Parts: sequence; structure tokens; C-alpha cells
Amino acid sequence: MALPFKIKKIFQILGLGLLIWPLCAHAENNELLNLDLTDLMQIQITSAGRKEQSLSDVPAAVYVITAEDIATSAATSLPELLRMVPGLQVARIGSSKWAVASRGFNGTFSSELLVQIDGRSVYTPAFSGVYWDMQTVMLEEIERIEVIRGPGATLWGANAVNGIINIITKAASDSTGIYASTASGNLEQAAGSLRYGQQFGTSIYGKGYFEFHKRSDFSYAPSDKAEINAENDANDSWEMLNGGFRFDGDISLKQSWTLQGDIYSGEENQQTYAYWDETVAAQSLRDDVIKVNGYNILGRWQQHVSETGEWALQAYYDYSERKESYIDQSYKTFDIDLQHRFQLFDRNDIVWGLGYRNIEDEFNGSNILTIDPARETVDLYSAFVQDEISLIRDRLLLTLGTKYEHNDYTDEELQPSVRLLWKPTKNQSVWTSVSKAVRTPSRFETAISVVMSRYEFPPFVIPVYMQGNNEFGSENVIAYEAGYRLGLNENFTFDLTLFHNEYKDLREYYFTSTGSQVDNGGKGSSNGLEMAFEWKPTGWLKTALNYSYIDLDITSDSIALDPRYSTNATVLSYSSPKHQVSLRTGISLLENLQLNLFGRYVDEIKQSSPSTASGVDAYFALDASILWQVNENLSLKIAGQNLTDPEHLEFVNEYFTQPTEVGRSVYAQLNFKY
Amino acid sequence: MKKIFICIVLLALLGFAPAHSNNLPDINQVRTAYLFNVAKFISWPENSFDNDSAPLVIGIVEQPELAASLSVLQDKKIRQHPIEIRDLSSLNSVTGCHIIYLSDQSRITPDSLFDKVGNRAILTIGDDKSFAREGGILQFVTIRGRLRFIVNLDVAKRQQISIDSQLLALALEVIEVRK
Repeated sequence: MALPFKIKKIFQILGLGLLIWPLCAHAENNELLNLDLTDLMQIQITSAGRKEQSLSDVPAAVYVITAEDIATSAATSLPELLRMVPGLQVARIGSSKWAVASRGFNGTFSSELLVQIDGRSVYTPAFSGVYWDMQTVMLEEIERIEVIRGPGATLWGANAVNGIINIITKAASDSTGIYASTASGNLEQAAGSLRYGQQFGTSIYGKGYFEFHKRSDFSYAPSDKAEINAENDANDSWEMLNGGFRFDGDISLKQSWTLQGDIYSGEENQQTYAYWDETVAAQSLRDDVIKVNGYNILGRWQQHVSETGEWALQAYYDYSERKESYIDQSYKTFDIDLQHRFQLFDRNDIVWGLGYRNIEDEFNGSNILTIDPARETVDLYSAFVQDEISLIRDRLLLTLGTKYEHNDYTDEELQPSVRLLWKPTKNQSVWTSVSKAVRTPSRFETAISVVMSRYEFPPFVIPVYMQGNNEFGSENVIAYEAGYRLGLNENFTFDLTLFHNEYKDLREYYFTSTGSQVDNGGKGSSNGLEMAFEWKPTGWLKTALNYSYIDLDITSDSIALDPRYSTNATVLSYSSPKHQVSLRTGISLLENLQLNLFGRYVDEIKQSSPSTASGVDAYFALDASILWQVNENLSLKIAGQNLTDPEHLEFVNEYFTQPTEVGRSVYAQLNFKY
Repeated sequence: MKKIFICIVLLALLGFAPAHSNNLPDINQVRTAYLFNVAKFISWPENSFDNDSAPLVIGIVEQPELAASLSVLQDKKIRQHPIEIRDLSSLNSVTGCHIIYLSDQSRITPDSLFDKVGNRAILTIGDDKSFAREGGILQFVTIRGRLRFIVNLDVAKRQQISIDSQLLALALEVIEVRK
């Protein structure tokens, strides 16, 4: 029984809290006088010494999720947090599988969105996408999440075609002391985390953490219930154990460094539905356990030359492996980047950088999926330069930039952008941009061979393959964007973005004698609008209203021979909800009691995967959380997700798993801080 | 169920107990403690004091809040010298001060302070961004939300202010061009 144990734990934590409570009174002035200098240097006088980046000056569609947003939300995972961002499509495929995209092209293998955690790319280039179920960040340790919709390739490089997500964790100097939390609920079975941070000497800060999370099974969608198993149990529970450390230090006023690392190990159940049996034409279900393991280590050194000048050098090594019934994958990535920012002739703010990345991958396929060659090492060299020119000081800014990349698949890629920002008044800005970005081919697109179906020609069963193509080239986008921002005061902001994207050379599948093959035959365009209002009418109420619209029109001259499946172009056109509306409200009921509501409407998805029967109905979902700050050290959160709806479907996976519904989740979380 | 109930009651009791304020300590209180501690590691030339029990004078330029906060030091002593706080509204009375603190909120610029002080044995402390680099002896900096300091040892030597090596060891940076 898990519950009694949990209660025991709560009591232990409570007891601890009561015991140390009297000790934590603030030092009065006279007590400060008794401290020596070393102790004085440990007293924090400002909370989080970050300078607020002024968003009104950024000529791009940027949205920031703050630590406070995270603390008050009901979300228990990274993708759930991203539901707050206008213009992103976030859909839950199952207990821990997600489809997250920016400005369309959604899918489990959503390839056009780059994601970084503290400057480390978590985009898996071999299949071009992010395995969200392997990304372990302690949510309480996130300082902010910056989301840039639209191409960011000039600064961040290839694969940032439709957006970039930068997850930035707190420096060790902002995480001193003990933090412990424990949570339990119907779907969030058990979650616990512990962090400890302290100052070493005068100039070094360190923290360490570990975390455990177990999520229970979801259920299959009704239409498939009968045919899959009697209990409708999707058998997709997930558990993860992870830990890590971070050290931050100052060498002088102008030089600082960071060393951080993480390690994780997880197990995730799934039932793969595929053409396992070579002797029959039908698909069959196989119980499977995904095993993931990995670690990473990152070092960064920064030198502030002046207010407008800075050098930064960063290097990391990342190992990750993922084993499931149809393929085992492992990656060793080494990356080093140098960046320099300086002012030139008073009016030019220049940033340039150099980068090198080496990725060594290894695959072990199955009778339904192989990658040939099974091992490969690729090198990626890059350089970028961006100049922000003040045409009229504080009024009109022109930003020119380009990135040059050399990769082993397509050789050279140039990704330029031009951006213009005009500030007619202090609290308004208008911006526009044109940029080009590419997505480079993945290993799956160049080297895959997967059984897509089997046909019966008695006495034979003939497999039909989808095959990679080593001639496959980069996908291209030219994006036109325009935006308007109004910040009447701190209590009212409005942000509007319009975009038009022209795509070419998109991935498509064409018929061959053995099945189909990957090709660059898709092209098309998308149009969209994203709006974000934030309004704090009084001290106790805040609201955030978002709306986004997208219309994708992707075509190719490929045709689908089998009526059960469509072309990739059709999937890309149909896989994103046209309209999304969300409203977040935070109400301070009492000084130490806060209620947060998050309601969202997501329009229908006509088709989320190649299967023509993969439509998803429009839905409304409501999340709520009550946060009770019991005292300075202790807080309690009671949260519920999908409260208005027992279960609904959000997305149908492209391959291997069956439509799974997102259920109602309720959990309680106890947080202790000292 | 009973345990859960007890748990909730306990939590509620905690909730009704007065919660400590989340406020961070006042920066002037930390500055006060800093000034007091720093002074312990400073030696002035012998002729700076009339006698062994003459007061050690700390002048605060145009920052009454800090001067008020420093008043707690008035019954403290540094090596026999009682501490005297002087609230300076101009630079006319710098003579006689052993320490002068110039805040970056003041209308008086660091340069005019340095002109006025000249080579006198006065420990100049400030928090202007380039205070130490431009001729001040000790500059407060806020780094990672904490108060730290940098020292210009050249100026200290020129003004015959000797700084204990223990203090120098704690400085974030020591500016020293002339060895």
C-alpha cells in the first residue's frame, strides 16, 4: 500500500518543519553586526539577480513562462506547461507521449521545433524531434521558459524552422537551502523531489537534486476499446528517476562559470500495434517496455567585457539511449560553442559565434524497422553573425543576420534573416521580419526501412516497406512575420503576431516497386495569427487570454493508393487545430491562498496521422489548482486537470500505438522549503 | 482517513500561526554590518587620530537612510575608537572623516569626492559602477543577489590606508596595477 507510507512521509516532513521553525527567524540588525564578512556575503539581498529582458524590444514572437506561472499551474510535465503559450500546438498522446509543435506540423516526430535545456539541444537529430518522455527537468528549478515562434535559425541553427523553446534553470545561487516536495494522485501516482543548495566559500554555489515520478496507465479511446483489450487499459504507465547537480561561480566581477550535469533512468510501458507477425497480413499488439537511460554534463564560461560586450564559451557532452521493441537507439553528442557580443561604432550591436557538434549514433532494429548503416558519426560546423543597427536611437532598429552551417548530409546551409523594429512610443512596438530556415535530413529519412503493411498472396505474405532516401535534402521555409506590442503599464500588455510561411522540399512519400520512399516532394504555405493579452485589474486578480489561428495548405503530387492512408502533405495540412483559445486566471483568495484556473478550447484536428481515421474532436479542458502557503516553509497544492471532462482524445499517434484518451487527474502536492 | 484528518488539522494550525515575513533583509542593514566589519580590517596612519580613544568618523554623503541605520554602531568601538556617524550633505566637511560612503543615489559624483579627498587617509567607499576603477578604495557590488566588494589597492596605498590581507582575500576583485 502506497498511501500509509505517503502519510508517514507527510508527518515526517511536518515534524521537521515544526522543529526548525523557531530557528528561522530573520536576523535583526544587531545580529547582522555579529556576523563576520564571510557570513555577510551569504545574505541574499535581492531575490534572483536577473535583469528583466525587455520583450518590447525583441523583433520576434516571444512568450515567456515564468517560475511563478510554473509554481501556480497544475502542470506536472514540460509539455503541459507549454499549453500556456499562444501559437504552440500541444497534444497529449498518452500517459507520457506528447506531440508538441509551433505553428503546425504536429506529430510525435514533430520535426520543426528546436528545444534546448540550459543551452543543450534535446532535439534528437536522428529522428528529428524531441522525446518529451525522456526530458527530465525539475519543474521547481526552472527559472523561465522562453518560447520563440517562427524561425530562429540565424541564432540557433538548423531545425529551428517553426520555433525554439529555451528552458532555463535557476542558478545554484538562486537555489540555496532545502527544497522537498511530494505529490500523489489518481494519475500522478507518486512524485517526489529533493534539492539541496549551498554556498561554498565566498564565490561558489552548488546544488544537487533528485527526483522520482510515476504516472499510471491511461485508457484507450472508446472506438478501439473492444478490439484491443477488455479493460481498455492502454498499459502506458511511466516512471523516471533522475538526479543532477549545478555549480555556479564567480572568478571576478566580470567572469563567471557554470558546471552542471544530469543523469536519468526510466521505464515506460507501451503496447505497440504493428506488423509483427511475418506470416499474417494483420497487425498485432505487443506488450513492450521502453527503457531510457542517459546523462549529460555541461560547462559554461562567461566574460562580461562591458555593458554591451560579452564572451561566452560553452561545451557539453550528452549520452542518451532508448530501447523499445522495434528499435534501440543511442546517441553520443559533443558540442562546443563560442559567442561574442560587442558594440561597434556606437550604433551596431554585433553578436557572432562559432560552433562544432559531433554526434555518434547506433541503432539496433527489428523485423519491422531497420536503419542502414546502423552506426554513423556526423560532424556539424557552424558560424553565425547578427548585427542590430540603431537607425534611429531607441526608435528604429534593423537586425541583419545569417547562420552558415556545414553538415554531412546536405553540405552547406545558409539561413539569413532581416528584422525591423519600430517604437512609435515608449509603450508600443511594431516589428516585421523575413527569414529563411532549413531542417536538415534525419537518419530516419535517409536510412530507414519500415514495414508499413503486409499483403496476403497465398501462400505468401508480402511486406510493403517505407524506405529512406539518402538523396533526401533539407526542408526549407521562408517566413514573413509582423507583430505589434502594447504595454500600457505593468498591468496590461497586448501582443499580436501575424505570419505567412512558404515551405518547399517538405518530406513526402512516393510509391516504388517495394512500397514507398521518402522524397522532398511537399510544398505549401501557412497563415496564422497569435494574440496574447495579460491583464491584472487589481492586486488579487490576474488573467491571461490567448488566441491562435492557423491555416496550413500543404500539397504534393504524391497520391495515396490505399484509402485507409493519406499522403504526408494531407497530414501536415490537417494535423493542427485551426483555433485555440485559452484563459488563465489567478485569484488571491487570502494572503496565503491562491486559486488558479486554466481553461482552453482546442479546435478539431481533421487528421493527426497518415491513417484517414485519425481525426480528433474539438474539446474544452479545465485545469485548476489551489495553492496554500501554510507558512514560510510549507505550502500545499491541490490540483486537478481535465476537470470538466472524464476523458478525451487529443491526438492519434502516427505509428505503433493506438488512440489513447487523456483522463481526469487530481493530485495533492506538499512543498517544503528551508 | 483519520490520519489524513489529523494531517489537515495540523496544517491548519500551522496556517493560523503567524507566518514570518518573506522580506529579505534591508540592504542598509547589510551595508551597516559590512562597514562595521570592514573597518576592523583597516589601519589608518597614526596621525589620523588625536589619541587612542578619539572617535572613528564615518561620513555618509546624502543618504539619511543609511546614516540612520548606522546609528546602531554608535555604541560600538573599533580598537578603542568609538564610532561617530556624520550625515554629510556636502563635501565641505570631509576632513576629519576616516571613512566616507558615497551612494550612487547621491547627486555628488565620485570624481568630485576623489578631488576633495585627494591623498588624505580616508577610506572611500561607494557603489557607483566604476567607483573603484576611477579612484575609490572600496566598491560594493551586488552579484547573484548578494553584496560583495572590490578593492583598488593602488589608491589605498597612495592614501596610506592599509588593508588587512584577510579582507583582501574576501574581495571579489583587487585592482592593483603598481606592485
